[in-house]
Amino acid sequence: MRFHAEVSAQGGGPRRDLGVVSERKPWAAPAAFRQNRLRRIAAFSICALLLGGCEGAHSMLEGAGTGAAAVERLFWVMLAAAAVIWAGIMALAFHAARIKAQPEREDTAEKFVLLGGVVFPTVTLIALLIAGMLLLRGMIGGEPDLHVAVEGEQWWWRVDYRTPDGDVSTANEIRLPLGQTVELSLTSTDVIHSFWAPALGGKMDMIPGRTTTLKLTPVEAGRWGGVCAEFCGTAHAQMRFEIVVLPPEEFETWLAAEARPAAPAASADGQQVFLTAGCGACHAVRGTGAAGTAGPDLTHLAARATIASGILPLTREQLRAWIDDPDAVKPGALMPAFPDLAPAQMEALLDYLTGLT
Amino acid sequence: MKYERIIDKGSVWVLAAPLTVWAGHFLLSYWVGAVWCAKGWGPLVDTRIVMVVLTLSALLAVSLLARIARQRYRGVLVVDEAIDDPTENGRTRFMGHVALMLSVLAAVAIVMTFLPTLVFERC
Amino acid sequence: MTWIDRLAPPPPPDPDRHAAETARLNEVWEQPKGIARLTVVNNSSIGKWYLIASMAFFTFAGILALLIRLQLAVPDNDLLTARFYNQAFTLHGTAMMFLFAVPIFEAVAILMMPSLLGTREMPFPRLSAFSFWCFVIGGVFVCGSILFDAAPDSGWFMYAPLSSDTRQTGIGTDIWLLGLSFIEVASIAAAVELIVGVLKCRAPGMRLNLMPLYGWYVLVVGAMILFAFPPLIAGDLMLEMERAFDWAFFDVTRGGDPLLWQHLFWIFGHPEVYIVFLPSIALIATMLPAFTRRGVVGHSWIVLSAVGVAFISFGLWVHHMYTTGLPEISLAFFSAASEAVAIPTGIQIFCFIATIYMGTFVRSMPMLFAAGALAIFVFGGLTGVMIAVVPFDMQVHDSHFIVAHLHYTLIGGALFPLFAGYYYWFPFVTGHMLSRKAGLWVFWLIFGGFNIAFLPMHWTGIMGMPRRVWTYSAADGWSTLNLVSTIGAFGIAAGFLILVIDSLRPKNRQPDCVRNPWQAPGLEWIDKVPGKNYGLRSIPLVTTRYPLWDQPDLQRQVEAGEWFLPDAPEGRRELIVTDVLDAEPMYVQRVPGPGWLPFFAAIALSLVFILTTWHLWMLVIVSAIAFVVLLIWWLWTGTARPPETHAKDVGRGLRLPVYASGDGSAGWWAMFITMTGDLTAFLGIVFAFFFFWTVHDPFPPVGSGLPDTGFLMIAAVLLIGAWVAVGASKRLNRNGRVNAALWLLVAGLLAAMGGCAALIWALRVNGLDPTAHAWDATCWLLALWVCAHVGIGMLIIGYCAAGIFWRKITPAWDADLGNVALYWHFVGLSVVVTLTLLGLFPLLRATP
Repeated sequence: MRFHAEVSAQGGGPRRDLGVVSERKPWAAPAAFRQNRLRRIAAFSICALLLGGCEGAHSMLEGAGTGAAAVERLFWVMLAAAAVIWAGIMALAFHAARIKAQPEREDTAEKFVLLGGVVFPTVTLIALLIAGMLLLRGMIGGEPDLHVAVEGEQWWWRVDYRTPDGDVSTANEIRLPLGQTVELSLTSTDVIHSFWAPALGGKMDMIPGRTTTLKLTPVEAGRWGGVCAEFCGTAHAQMRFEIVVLPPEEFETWLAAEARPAAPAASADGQQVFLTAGCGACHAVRGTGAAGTAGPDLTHLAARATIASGILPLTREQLRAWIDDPDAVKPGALMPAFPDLAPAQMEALLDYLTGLT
Repeated sequence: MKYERIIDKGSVWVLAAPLTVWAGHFLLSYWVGAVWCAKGWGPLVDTRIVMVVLTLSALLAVSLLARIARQRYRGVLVVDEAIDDPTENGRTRFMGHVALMLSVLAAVAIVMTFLPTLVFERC
Repeated sequence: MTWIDRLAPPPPPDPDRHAAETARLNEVWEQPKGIARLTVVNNSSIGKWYLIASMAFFTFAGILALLIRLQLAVPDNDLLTARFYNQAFTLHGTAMMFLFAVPIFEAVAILMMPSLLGTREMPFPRLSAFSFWCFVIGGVFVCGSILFDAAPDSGWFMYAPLSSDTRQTGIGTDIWLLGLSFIEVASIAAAVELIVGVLKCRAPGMRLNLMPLYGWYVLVVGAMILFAFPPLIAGDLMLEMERAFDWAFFDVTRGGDPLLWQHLFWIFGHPEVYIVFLPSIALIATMLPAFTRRGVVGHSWIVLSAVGVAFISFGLWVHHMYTTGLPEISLAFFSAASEAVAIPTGIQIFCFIATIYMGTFVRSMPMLFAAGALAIFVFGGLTGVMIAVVPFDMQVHDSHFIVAHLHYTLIGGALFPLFAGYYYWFPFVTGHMLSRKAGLWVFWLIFGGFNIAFLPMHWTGIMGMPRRVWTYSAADGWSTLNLVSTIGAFGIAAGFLILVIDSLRPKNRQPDCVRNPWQAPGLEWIDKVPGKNYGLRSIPLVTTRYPLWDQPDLQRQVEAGEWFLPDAPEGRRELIVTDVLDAEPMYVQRVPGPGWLPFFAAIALSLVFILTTWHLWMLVIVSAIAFVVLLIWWLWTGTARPPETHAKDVGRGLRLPVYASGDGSAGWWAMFITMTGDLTAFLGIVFAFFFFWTVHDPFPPVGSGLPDTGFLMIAAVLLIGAWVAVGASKRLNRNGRVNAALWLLVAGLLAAMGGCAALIWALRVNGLDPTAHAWDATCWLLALWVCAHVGIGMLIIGYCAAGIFWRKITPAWDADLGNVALYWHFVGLSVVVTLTLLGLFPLLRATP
């Protein structure tokens, strides 16, 4: 009962390709969205009525990964069984209340308590326990094709691809090859976060001092949402990421590009502002003097679709607003505001940053 | 005023005992599962043997408790048996009845706690 | 031939004597007026206040919930700031759990239990009053913080290291830790009293098999509080030590581990859910006979179910930690227990349905709410079974699905039965019925509003919305569902508002409620409503489970004063303390009347906790001394005073002693139960010790300082010596060698002091530094725990020595000494465990 209102016309390709996303302003009701609102509401009501899966980059019923698909099957079975059991108990209770007293029917009551209250739950629960454990064992999975380390930080995601030629560092956008199993090594340096991309699979906590792992196998290309699921401080709600599932060859191309140092700046001014304003103390741009590690690696910033950990589309205007006052966009954000940049400096900086493809 | 009836003649302890056995079995199983391999004791004894031994001894203990409970209850297991006679005997039978059913519950819970050992291998 | 067969026939009726007795009872149990109302200790007043206070906190937390729902009603909302929202949801959860759900159980139990069990009062009325005042002061302290923008803001489960790092979270976390520890202590105090009440203060003849189901549930829940709250107190202590003094428990860079907090929190947190749920089921079990015109089917099955749930609920805690990366097999054990707990939970529901089936169902407001409870709770239970399955939980954990699930279980399992009970017992407390017409509005608004609010919320979670987010974007696709939830939330609020109005509206013109309006079988309805201050006119002999149905003449006999304690000739409030198994009368306990001590002691103790929040150490010490002085005053003047006579006639020719010591007395049981809880907190620290042992290899780590063996041995000799001295002193005193007993106590006091010094020195001399590593911090915490307990032990040794000296304690009246000896057994145990861990355990470490 899927209802894909916005499936891209590209024949089963990514449902939100990068071009579309960059025009949308997810945080401020974009024009395209407004036009579609009526359609969406209509579609939504229909799916709500049918209790079916509705489209959504965050929905755990999208089946975009093998883990999510397996859990979805389990969910429907359990939901159906729960509905039947609930209706059964309610019917029994109302029947018992409506009929006349049955003081002589002791054996019926006894059978009822023994079978309904003892035998049936015991058998059902043991069966469910075994099914759940087998599913869990299946999800442990085999050898992964790809290793990615993700570190949760307040309030963004550091992403390192472990390649034979060394680590490739990026942030807040995780690109994965379609059909391959990736093992995510998850950790944190400050507080507990939790990595969750519902459309692909389950979640796993990121705990300081520990490394946890989560395996995902994407089976549907597209752009999927991810959130931090464990409360991690003021900006917890705005600690998002995106998972972009690409065909393997596209993924390889992208990874190779990502491994290269930053493209030479079109004009030296922007880079100069970047370095003198102190951006490099926190951010790295490989190939320049900027090698800070406190914030996201910006070497290929412009190749990403969002900024501020997945909450704003990467546009010139959003970037300006963000640099001007991060706390206004994302209360609690640790990046300092730069209100004192002269307009010309700001424009040069924005030129520079949007040119970091 | 000496007061010894709880332990010797009384039957309160038999109420708490079966599920205490379950709790012990549960914690030991968890402990073995979590610690045995972490501490590198795997080669000493296979965890599954440990678990089987644990489970069998827990079930044995529960069945002994059930026997005691059965002796106190001295009745047929019917659901709506009130057991409300205002005598010491009534109280003993009542507590025996509850303890007997608790033993059954404990046995089921112990078996359920054992199941993970069959599904997951360790070390 | 039992004691019952030896009872004399009742005295012949005599109106004059009856009137004189009634007058004396009235005088003795009279409630103070005016400002002196603060001194009230009687259970019917304290229970009522407790109930009103927890309802007030419920309203407060409900308003926070409405703010939360308003903020989430539309995407990109800016009604609340992120910082305020985080405080709001933290305080909503905290207040609902700690200031409403648990206290209302205690409120209802304090209010109702003596009447249900056929007695006059709780065994320790001043303790109820003390617990109530602690609860109110602590609750106002925690809730008030939001007015100063200083409320806790890390979620009601306060995960470290967000909560342990003072740069991350401010004073709000300290308020949470200290304020709630304080309330937890109050809750444990109330639980101790309730357990003793059920075990020792039942109507004569009310054997365990005749005890109302409510008594069973109170017993079970009291015991659960006793084992569930202390681990959290241990955790609170560690967290506050890390925040205030930088001790290393949760900081990974210094050998700590954030998961330790999660274990300690959820060892408390999961049983907590059942602590909230079982008392409400108890209310249903108590009401059901009245509305089915028969006894509950499977009485013993329900007892089985309560005991079973209580035990198994302690094996579920890791199901809140499925996504922390623990080994799969560990998760599976907890999955197994999480499924198993559904079996006993289901049994009680099936027994209730069987009761309705076999009996004549009577429609009524309470049963309407009970039906709502069934519908909602069964649904919540079924989603609970779903999330017990690990892979499914890994998806929905920490999403709005969980928010929906927990509200289904708690509102269905706890709140609806409470509303049912509210309608049922409202006339018992006030003498008036609530309106049926308004009640239907209340029910349908709350029931409908609830399902509108929370049924879609499951789907919000399935659509991927995490919990505890203050904002979301329209593009996330969660807008409509959230708007619907918000509308539903206001439905609940409207229903609750009508209930409040209906409760508060003047009912003077309404006719007084008839006696026993529901034709119920429970002893609480034996009297006209509302009852007298003294409760029962005489305390009856109970020989059936449903006395008002099966002992038809009982009401007349009780009112004619034909049973026990029909009089108060000595001008003292009196109870009959009975034996645990068969409720055979053992002695008469004189309980205290109104007094200022509980009130001021609560203020002093609350100041200790509140001032600690701001590290005002001098004032803390002053308050602590004030508290100790008040406590000693309280004990000295009010407990175990040598009586004027050995025994008195309580009616029907039954002569009972008026004093008891040792394991027959209620005080001994209270001490035993309290110390069991205290020992559980100690075991929480021991758990931390072994937890660090499993995460560190080796533990203690190579190169860390070890406690000095020589000083540990000195500490062992002295502390165990003190323990032995107290025990021996009790024996000597009983044998009449009063002076020897006194000197032995003094020797014990000195040995205890020396032992503490040696223990501290054993750590100091080898440079153990609690801020350096988790090993050092854990050793210090164990040592401090022992020293604090030995310190209290010294105080009460001194108390007993003074008691012997001033003849409060004599060879015949030695209850205090017996209780102190019992206390020292527990201290001795923790001394032995601590010294083993500090001294012997490090020897097991393979030498590198």
